[in-house]
Amino acid sequence: MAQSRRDFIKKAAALSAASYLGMSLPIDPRNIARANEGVIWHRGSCRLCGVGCRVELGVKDGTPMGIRGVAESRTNFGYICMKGMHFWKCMRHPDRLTKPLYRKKKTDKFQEISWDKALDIAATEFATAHKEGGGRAVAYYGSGQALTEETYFFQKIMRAGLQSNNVEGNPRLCMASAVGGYLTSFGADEPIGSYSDLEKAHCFFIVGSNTAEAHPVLFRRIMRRKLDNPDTVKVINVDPRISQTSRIADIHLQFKPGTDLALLNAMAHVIVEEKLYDEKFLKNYATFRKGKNVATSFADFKAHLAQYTPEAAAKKCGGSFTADDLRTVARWFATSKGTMSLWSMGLNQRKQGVWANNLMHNLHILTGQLLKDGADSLSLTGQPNACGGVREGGGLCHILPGHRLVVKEKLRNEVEAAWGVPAGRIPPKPGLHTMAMFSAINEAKIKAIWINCTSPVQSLPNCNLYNKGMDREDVFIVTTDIFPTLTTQKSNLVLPTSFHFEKTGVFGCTERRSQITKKAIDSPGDAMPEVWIIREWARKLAEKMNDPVITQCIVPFDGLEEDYELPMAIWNEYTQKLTAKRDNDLRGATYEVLEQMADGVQWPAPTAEYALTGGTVKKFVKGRDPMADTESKNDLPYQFYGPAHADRTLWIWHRDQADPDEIPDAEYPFYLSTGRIIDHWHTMSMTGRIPELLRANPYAYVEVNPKDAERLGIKPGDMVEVKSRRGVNQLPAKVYEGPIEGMVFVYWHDQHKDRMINKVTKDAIDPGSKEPEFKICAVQIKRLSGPQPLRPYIV
Amino acid sequence: MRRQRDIPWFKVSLSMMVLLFMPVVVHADNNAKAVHPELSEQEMYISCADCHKEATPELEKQWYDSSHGIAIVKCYQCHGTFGTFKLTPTRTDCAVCHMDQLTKCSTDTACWDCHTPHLFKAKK
Repeated sequence: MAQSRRDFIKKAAALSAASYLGMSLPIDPRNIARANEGVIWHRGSCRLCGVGCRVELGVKDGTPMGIRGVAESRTNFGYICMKGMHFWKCMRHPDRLTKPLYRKKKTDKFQEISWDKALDIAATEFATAHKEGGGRAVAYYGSGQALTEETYFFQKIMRAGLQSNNVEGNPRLCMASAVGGYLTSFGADEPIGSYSDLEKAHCFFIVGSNTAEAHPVLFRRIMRRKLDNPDTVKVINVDPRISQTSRIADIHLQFKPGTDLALLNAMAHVIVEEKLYDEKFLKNYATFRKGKNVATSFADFKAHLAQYTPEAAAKKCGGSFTADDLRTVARWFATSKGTMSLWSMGLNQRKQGVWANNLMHNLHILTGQLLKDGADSLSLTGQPNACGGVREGGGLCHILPGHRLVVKEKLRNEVEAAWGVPAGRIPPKPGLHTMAMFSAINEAKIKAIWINCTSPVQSLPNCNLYNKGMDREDVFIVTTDIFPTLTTQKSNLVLPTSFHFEKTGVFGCTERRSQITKKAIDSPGDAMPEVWIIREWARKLAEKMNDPVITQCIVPFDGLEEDYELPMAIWNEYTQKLTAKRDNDLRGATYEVLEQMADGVQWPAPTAEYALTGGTVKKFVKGRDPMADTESKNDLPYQFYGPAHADRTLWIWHRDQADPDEIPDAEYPFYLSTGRIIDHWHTMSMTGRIPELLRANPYAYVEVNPKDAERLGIKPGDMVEVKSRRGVNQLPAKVYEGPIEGMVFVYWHDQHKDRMINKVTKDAIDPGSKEPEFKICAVQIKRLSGPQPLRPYIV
Repeated sequence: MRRQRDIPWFKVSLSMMVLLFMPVVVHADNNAKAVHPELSEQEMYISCADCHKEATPELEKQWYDSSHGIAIVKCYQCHGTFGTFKLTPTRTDCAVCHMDQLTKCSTDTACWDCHTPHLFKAKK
């Protein structure tokens, strides 16, 4: 039957919630990634996501021309996703911040000011806040997208200069539970294995991760492994939502949100009952724990698992799969020649995030699916430098550089000595974790905060609550960023920074791999690298506070030009003085070495000679990890020398199923979960400005299970209200057999006030990791109307 | 402002559309005239696959079931968006990810000489 074009468009609009209002999008006609004439290609790593793809930026006469992959790359084999392909368009975008902007009151209009004045204001405000409330009254909130040199330098000034451990970053919102899991299970943060295990794995266990959209280039590697070996490689997907990732799965276990701890325990139950565990591995390397100081035994663990029968778990998880499905999955996991687990925010952003990570590691320890090729328990990092900069560089309130805990005096003293500041200068108590930090802002206990390269106004859970604090006139906010964001809108001072390839520095991705990206083009306008901004701010702070210790913090970096010498000096100080003999020993990964190594270096890499081999692919294995040899205590091939387990064993934990903080009830009967979409990055301040990416997904929408949609009278494209006890959104509906019945799902990139889902999410935190439970809360769902005109919104 | 054209075009192949409609050259790239039925700015917010699922279902299915479809390599990554749209991607478009393969081919060979569009499998 013929259909008019108008009818068709209307139908398509209903399918995809198309808009009827326009938005002017400048098209950049330069898209000649392979037109080599006069183009010089500069190596670096991708700016977006935690995969760490190696890319090359094409530059012609100082102008960026395109991005390309490099086939020899160990991370991405030349493939790049659409975000990687297009992020270069941010570099010369007309919206770039190019001048320091200031307003005394947040209700005033911004005025352009000079750098000298801007840094003077920043120093005055922090000095004043410090005078009033000491280190507790100031804070730094950074990013897993900042370079390691930037995070390290910021935290140095905060801790040794302003005597404040109020140093946090957005990785608290995504990776803190993974850190807690690795430390408590393996005694050391970050994965044991590497991406190279992907091509050797025979079973993939993907849980709480839509890898296809959040880590597309790694997903491609998994997909290729599966498609090339359809009968011998198994892919298990475990998630409340069927996603693009599920397309390559042999089996998908769909469970009711928050019941996965029961599911993982039930897998352990099957492995134990059917004697699928690796007895020798357990005997040599594992111990059992109820608490840090409460050792148990295998028999205790078996008794603990007794309640988690597959039948009980299948029921608890909602009945979408059978007990036999679960048995099958457990058998595949235990008996494959190499099982690799991958997870992301589905496990981490939970009130039981650390426990969920522990249970994941339990399965690998039980079965010995660790330390051999093709086997690993690998947490996928969300951001390009959450591992390298924040986890390793001291970017959280409780850790110092080199995986040191703030609370340990000996470790504080090591850092103080390395910095040449008096012993006792760093406060002994950890600072405020992210949610406590923004609560303190709500109460104006923090008077001055520096927000770098992130937008908490949009990315904090229950953001309405915390945005009130950021609106306060008695809280001074300085932000450093490349584009206006919802957070710059609540700032007093906005400082324009250089973007990727406009400055030099190192990113450390998921697999302990550090890669350098050198400056290839100039920054627009007066934008400056953060390392210069920090140094010059600290110089003024020292003057205003008349504090020679602050001066001491920048003495090693005085007089160095900011494009290369300064970041190199910072990197040298960090790696040579503060990673020496730590488990993330990066002494061999000097700039000179990183520039030679196209794919960077995986730590530990204690010497340049070793780093020039590429570093450590598999931690803890003698002959493959130099520290496993130097730290060896016995004749066994694996040596767990991580700082958190003095007994040098892997810990199998008793962790019970526990409910999320908020579960649906009669008033709020649906689960809400959120996640990332492939075309956009986080709060879309970058990707929303790139026409190709914006058009691909101009709005957030709410995914509704067809059975729920039918019951509620919701049709594709209808406007739907999603309301929790904290906030409300109005979103177009996508009726899709993705979310399990009784659950809705919303992508979180949209900046529009009606579609910003973090107004709705919950800010309960994991008691161990302090990571919020973004992934689960209870909501009401209501149809508001048919399809409505919508407009993409970018600040 | 929305422009309307009540001409049937549902389930018409892409090549047929070129013949049926007043072609709108939205971008001229090298020798290939790239055409697409004219859309308003508003309509351009509909994702390519959503329309083509109905307008060119066979092509959309081929793509969806291909390695590109599984890995979510979307239409605009090869064809560009409005303003940069090209009907037939060039070697340089493929080369963003497939440079190594291109180095094995002669420069006067188009990718589609060997690979079926949207299936991406080698022609026999």
